[in-house]
Amino acid sequence: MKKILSLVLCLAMVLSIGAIAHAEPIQINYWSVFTGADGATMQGMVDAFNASQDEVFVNHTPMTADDLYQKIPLTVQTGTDIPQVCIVHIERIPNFVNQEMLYDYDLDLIAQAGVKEENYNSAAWARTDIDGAHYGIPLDVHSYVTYYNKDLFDQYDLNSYVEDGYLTFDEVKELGDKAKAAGFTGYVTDLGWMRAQLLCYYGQLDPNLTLSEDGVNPSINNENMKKVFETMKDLWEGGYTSVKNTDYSSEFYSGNMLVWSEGIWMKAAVVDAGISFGMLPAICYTPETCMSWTSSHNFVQFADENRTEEEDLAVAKFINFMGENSLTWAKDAGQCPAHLSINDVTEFAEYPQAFLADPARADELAIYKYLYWGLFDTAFSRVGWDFVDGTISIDDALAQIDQEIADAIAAQ
Amino acid sequence: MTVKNEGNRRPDIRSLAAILAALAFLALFVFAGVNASTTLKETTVSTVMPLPKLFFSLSSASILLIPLSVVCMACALAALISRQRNVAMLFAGISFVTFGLFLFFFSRETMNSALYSPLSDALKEAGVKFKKRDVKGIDVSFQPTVFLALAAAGIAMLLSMPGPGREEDRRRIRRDLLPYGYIAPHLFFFIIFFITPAVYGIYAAFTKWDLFNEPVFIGLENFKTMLLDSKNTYYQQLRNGLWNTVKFVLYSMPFCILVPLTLALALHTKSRGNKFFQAVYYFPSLLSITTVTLSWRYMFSPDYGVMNRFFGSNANWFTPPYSWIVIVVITVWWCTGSTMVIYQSALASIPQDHYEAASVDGAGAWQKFLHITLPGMRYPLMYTFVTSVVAQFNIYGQPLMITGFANREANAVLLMYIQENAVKKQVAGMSAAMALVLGLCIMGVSYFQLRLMRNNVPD
Repeated sequence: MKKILSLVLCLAMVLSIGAIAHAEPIQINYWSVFTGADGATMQGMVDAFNASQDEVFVNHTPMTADDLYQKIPLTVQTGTDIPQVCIVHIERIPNFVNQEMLYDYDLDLIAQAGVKEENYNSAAWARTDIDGAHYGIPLDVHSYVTYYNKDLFDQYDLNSYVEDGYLTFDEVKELGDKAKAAGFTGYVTDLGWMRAQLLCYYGQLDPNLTLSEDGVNPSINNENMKKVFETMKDLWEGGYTSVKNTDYSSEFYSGNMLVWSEGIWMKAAVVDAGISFGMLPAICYTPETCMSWTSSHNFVQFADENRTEEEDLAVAKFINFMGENSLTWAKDAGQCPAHLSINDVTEFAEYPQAFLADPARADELAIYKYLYWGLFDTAFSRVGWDFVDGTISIDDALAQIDQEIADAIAAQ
Repeated sequence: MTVKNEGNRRPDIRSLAAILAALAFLALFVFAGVNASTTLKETTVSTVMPLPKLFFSLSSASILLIPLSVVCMACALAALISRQRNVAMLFAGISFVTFGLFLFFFSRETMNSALYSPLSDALKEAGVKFKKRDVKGIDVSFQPTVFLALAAAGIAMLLSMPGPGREEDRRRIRRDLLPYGYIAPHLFFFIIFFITPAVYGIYAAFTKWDLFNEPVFIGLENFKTMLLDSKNTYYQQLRNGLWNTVKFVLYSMPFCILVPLTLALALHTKSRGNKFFQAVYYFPSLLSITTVTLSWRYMFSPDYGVMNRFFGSNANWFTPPYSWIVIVVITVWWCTGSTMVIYQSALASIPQDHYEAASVDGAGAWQKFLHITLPGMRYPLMYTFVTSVVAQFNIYGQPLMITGFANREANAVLLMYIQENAVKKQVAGMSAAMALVLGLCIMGVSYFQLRLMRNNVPD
């Protein structure tokens, strides 16, 4: 009996020593802007990372982008509960840097975990090089593209318009007229998220993507932007677009719209709707000048003097894992991963958004960089439909955008 | 009710000394400051941050203890002047403890943003090239005046203490302090979560502030811009937002009174199933405005909403003037329940014999309503009128979710601009000034309503 008792005690001692020897994983708090289906996909990727090793444990907190951009300044200012890593949109980074809210990456340190410039989409990586320091690691690039309903295109014999892989404004009008003449009663295309559409078309007229001549004061009120506004108004007045307050996604899903401008992130929803679809770059003036407005979700680290180098390295391991295993992000979230290893995955090449990862077409991605992007976004979105339906004239709308941004800068 | 424990005698020397100590605390607080320094690349820079300025920086949670300490010492001073030494002891004690806690917690902060800002400026002036991550920490020390202020608070507390007392004295202390014990939890949260933000919000209205860096005092500049510069965005936003808010109040108020009154009268007939209908009518007020607005948004959808199907119309309910109808319908549906319950209670309190006497005299239903019911409900009607107007001035969720800033901001109310400017655009100073204007408007309207109500209070 004594022997058995000794054996049990020894076993318990060995087990407890083992438990003590087993180090606690480094806890990483990770905030992201992914909610809904994207949030579930991201959580799955985080779970996969946590299961793949036992040194680092990532706690994922998803929230809407608006919520995140409201919480972050307060969190950083008060210095409490700052996440070790966070996803933000690439356009927000210059202003965060300007406000000294971000720490730049220690490139030597993160290289130890495999995070290196040569592994990433060059256009996205370069946008977060600011004053000799690097602030963002791109997870993906996500563009505003054009979906078209293949069944309707077959039915109305419209496939010749998309054979070259581009769709121009003139072609949209032509195919719309042709389909209507053949009895199509739905919408040719839509005016949905105007800001994204307009930024696609503006980039095609001004490849420098100039939103400010001097980098600070807005210069939205210019001839190129005016032409873009007129293009949109012209489409609406010609009866080629959906009307105000149309639920344009439902119209496309129900086969009531030929061509739909939307983000690549809606691909999964389109697949779920059971639509046979094709994907093209944004509608363009000419194929040669085609550009699609593109943003990028970036991993950043907000200023926190309490964060240790050990935590920074753990974050880099997490980021590298997400890059190397981003097929899920492409497959389930419909995004285009920024990690170049995705180009080696055969399955990805078959995805409709694969053309966005083609290095040869990197200059078709219109990634804007303006210090006051947040102000621009708000002011630009405000005029939305109003200039299209004539509630406000185009000249007044453009002047209002510049004025609103300038006044906000002055009042900050 | 507090009993003055010193009678009507003149304050004794001890009380006078306590008063002086409390005054000394307040005076020292104004002049006290924090020394901060940091060293980078063999360059050391330092700065002095006065405590009042630190309070307005609101740069960490520990700073919330400062107003608590100051307010409590002001209360202690008031208590000493009115010769309530036991109460003064309580407040001076809280002031002493909270000020001490502030010093303890603040000294542990290694990177306070209010201190970092002047230090980084000093480093830049000294020609040091650096990034924020290079600054590993800030050394914080308190000036002697800070410790003198703490000592003054302690002395004020000690001098307010009664001497080694008899049983009668101890009972008196308990009796004096018990009411404050009851209100202490509320008072604590009231100071932290109401007084402090209110004071800070008023101060912010006179600053230029991007929410992240330290606010810069600019006097009346925000108000001049908002009220006088007709080309400025904020001038237009204030006019449009305030006018739309007033329009909404005018559109919705009659329905917010009449609909619940009608329902309350209908339910008061005690017809079959009235309890069920009372529950049904009350139910919407239990829901969040987001849920309510989303539901109605679907119903009014121009494409597939039931409203257009039901009425056989093709109206776009999300453009003016229809959008106002939608917003008012949602509001009335949402807030009818709570007002209806007040009216039901008022109706139940009107003596039945008044109606019986009126019937004997040959009065009809309308006459009874006009001469018995309405006068009997005068006070509840005025009360709901006042509270509803204040509530409707704070309209936000419905127009935001129905139209947002579309249609050339035709339904944009002032709170929408205030929220957007403060949080989304980080123009917090201007936003605070707008909020102050809205607050003054509500106070003005409420003042006249309250006067009206007082004149209608039943004897």
